Amino acid sequence: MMRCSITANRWSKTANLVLCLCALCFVLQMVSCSRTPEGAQIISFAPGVEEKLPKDLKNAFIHYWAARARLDWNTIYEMEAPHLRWRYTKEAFMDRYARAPKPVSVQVTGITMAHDQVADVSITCVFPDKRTGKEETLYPRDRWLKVGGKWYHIWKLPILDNFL
Amino acid sequence: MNLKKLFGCGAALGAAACLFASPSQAYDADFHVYQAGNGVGDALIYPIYAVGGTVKTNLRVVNTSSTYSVVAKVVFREPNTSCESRDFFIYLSPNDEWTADIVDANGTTKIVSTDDSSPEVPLNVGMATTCNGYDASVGYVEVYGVAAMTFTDSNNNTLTGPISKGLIQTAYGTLYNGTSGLSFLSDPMGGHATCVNSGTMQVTYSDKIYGMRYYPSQNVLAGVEEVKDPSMNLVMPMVATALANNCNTQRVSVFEETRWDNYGYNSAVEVRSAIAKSAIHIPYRNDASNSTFAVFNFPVKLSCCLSGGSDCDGVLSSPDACDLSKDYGTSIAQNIYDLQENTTTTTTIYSPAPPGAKIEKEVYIGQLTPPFAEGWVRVKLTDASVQQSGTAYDGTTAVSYAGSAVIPSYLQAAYDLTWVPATFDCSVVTAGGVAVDNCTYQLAPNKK
Repeated sequence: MMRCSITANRWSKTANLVLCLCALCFVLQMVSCSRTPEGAQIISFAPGVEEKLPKDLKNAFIHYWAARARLDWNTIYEMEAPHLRWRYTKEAFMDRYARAPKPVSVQVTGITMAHDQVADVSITCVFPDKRTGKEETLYPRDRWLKVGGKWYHIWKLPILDNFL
Repeated sequence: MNLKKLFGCGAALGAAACLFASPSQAYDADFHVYQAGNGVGDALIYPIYAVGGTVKTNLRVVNTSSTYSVVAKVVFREPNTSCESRDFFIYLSPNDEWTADIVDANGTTKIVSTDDSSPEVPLNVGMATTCNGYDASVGYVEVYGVAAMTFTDSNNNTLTGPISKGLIQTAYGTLYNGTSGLSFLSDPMGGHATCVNSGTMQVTYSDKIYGMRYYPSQNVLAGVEEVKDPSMNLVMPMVATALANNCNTQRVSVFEETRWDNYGYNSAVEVRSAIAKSAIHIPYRNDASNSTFAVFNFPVKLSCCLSGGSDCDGVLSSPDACDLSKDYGTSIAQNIYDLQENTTTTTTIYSPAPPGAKIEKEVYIGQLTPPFAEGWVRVKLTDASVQQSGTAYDGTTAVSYAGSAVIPSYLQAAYDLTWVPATFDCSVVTAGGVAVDNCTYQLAPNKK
């Protein structure tokens, strides 16, 4: 445990002050780093799955789906794979994708590493159906791609991608 | 002999009588399978289901009758040759609806339902390997009405209100096991231009004895499907194509595949004649933001072998006895117009282009890429000649049709997708030397 006592020694006083400030900064940084992003409360992991996700992928996954829960399109667009951002400007992306509703819940049920840099995250996600007022449960595989040491999401639209 | 045994003997005698009765009906233009303009019939075709990732398909089957309980068989088929990939019965009481979803469960296509009309509740079954191994993550669905029933209690009072699904299920088992041969009624007609002959049986269910009157399939089924992506608020509804007057009395089970050449009081060419079209009309938009896709379903080509036969080995070989799609290819030609009636001789307007201008797949989706931004296309489809002619259910009356036995629709794609039934020119069907316009016939199927 750190002591921040003030002593008569000037050097010691200064050193202690610096140490205290450093410690404070470290604590603040840790708090900042570990803060769950708004929206992340919709995300859960099936028993035994959380440990199987690489830590950097898990962080990216949580930040991405939390952004989906907030409908934070800036973050969502930035976290989509480079080829998707190459194909669509942000405006064009919004034209196609911004109709998506907020997910109600996302549970990770499994992970398959197709390659060191390609992951298929099996999820069970629930979306509201505006027309019926009911909730729809889906079981897609969420694909992630690691480029330049960073994980990116690949938003596949099976119907639209086939026909547009 | 107690009452139960007496009725059991009666049922057996009735079944034996059915066996020895001779077929009474030949092709009859006054009572004949037809495509129901009102969407209500005894068999339904859902032209496409699609699953994958967040895409799913919802199916609904409605028993519009307030009188009849209905047993129907739901059959799922792959899109290339229509091989069966799954089948089961559903049990609908009067005014009932069955609903199920076809979903992608982490890469596996499954049929799920909690509806009490399902054969088991909850229902959660995957697609099976098809005869030639084609994948069934996309395909189409047929619902064959098998039998209609009414019930009385031990005091001979007609049962009203919701009928127990267990009773309907048990009743059909009793009907199936209490009859033999191909049909549970040899003459379904009960007179000319009707389909109301019936038989009776006793059904024991839940320690009670019920009276059952069974009929051929009745024109009481309607259906709708929704191909949707809930993660994108996308929904594409489509009404199922209804075929009426199949008047099925065939003993149908899940152990034998049901399809148009062994169902109902028709031959396959009669069913093809019922849905034949001379031409299809598709309005298109074709620019940077809009595209149009033709969607054709040919549900009666029967280019797959029967499930369960020795050729059905689950492996696609070349040539494959379970893939006659090349032999049954449908020729495609078109007239293309823009908004000012200008036309073109361009022929390569489909992407992917059907090889040799013939459509082999039984479900075909192709983008229209005409040289105009907007207009319409008259698509002329012509089935293989071996498909266009044959004999009626009586085995002697010659039947033929012009054009193609197709269920046509199209997709309009922009930032949204809409799925629309296509309009069409009717076919001319010739039966026993008499030519009839099959649309006119459909408006008045029972003339006498």
